Amino acid sequence: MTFSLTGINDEEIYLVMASAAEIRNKNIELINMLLAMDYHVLVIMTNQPYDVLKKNFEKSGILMDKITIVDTITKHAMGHDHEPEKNCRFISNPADLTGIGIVVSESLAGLKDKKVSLVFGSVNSMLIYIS
Amino acid sequence: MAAPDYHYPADHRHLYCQHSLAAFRLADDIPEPFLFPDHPRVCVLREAGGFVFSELLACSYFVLMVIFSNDPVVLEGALIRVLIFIPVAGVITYLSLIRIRVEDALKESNKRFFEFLKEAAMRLKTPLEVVEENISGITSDIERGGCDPVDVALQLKFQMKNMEQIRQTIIELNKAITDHGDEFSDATRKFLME
Repeated sequence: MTFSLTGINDEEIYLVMASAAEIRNKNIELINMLLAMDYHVLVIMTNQPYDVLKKNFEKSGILMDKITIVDTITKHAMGHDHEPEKNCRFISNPADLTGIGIVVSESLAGLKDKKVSLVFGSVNSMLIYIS
Repeated sequence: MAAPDYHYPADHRHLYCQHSLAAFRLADDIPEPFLFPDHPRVCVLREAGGFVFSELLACSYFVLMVIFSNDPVVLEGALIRVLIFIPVAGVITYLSLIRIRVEDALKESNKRFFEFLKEAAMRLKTPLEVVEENISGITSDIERGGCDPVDVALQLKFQMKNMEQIRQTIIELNKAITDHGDEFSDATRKFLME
């Protein structure tokens, strides 16, 4: 099922519902639409590592120029740091909300003159790390 | 309880039924805790306050006996009943207080149990579904072919971390329950916390 982003307003929060099986495709579809609307997309990923996500984006024809990713998984799963990436910031684990907050603030500060949309990859997977 | 026998003029119960509060004549229509003096269950009615009420009732009974009978044998019998009634009322009040405490503890335990179930459903069911679907996605990618084994390994490692976190969540939930209950043996407690 496709959905439309016409009529979305700035400074509002939207919840996009998708089954777990469809979430990857829905995220790609959503990011594609936001890019088409000239947004710079800041993606907080809690269910897919950067390397995999990047490949999926490339496969779907999404250019990474206008995307910044906050990856909470890679460091957590690998147990060590990832090589620095131009458009990705790595957080130690998805439970590190302070770290996520700092990185998001810094990223938003760097995108001051741009229209930015913040996308949470999966709210459900955040639930695993609530304590 | 059998209805009082009204046909024996010498019986103190006759006096009691005729002259004390008219309501007592309607014993069959009155809730059981109000029956007096054979039923000290009146004490159960209002916890500690019920004890005071019972004693007042016992005293009223004796005063009425004094007012309406000059027979020393009847008065002696009434006094003995009142004196026996007082400790019995005390014991029943004490037992009713214990029962109330146990009921409160049971209610608290049930409340905690239902909270545990709700929390467990939210914090285990959904994360497990996420992990299940993530693994399903990984297997689909492998079946389609063209996957980088390094990426697959990374994704599987992350699912392992997720499972580890879910285990920690279960321990946390168990801790919330075991910390408030004495009914767990040390061995059970250890098992639940590991």
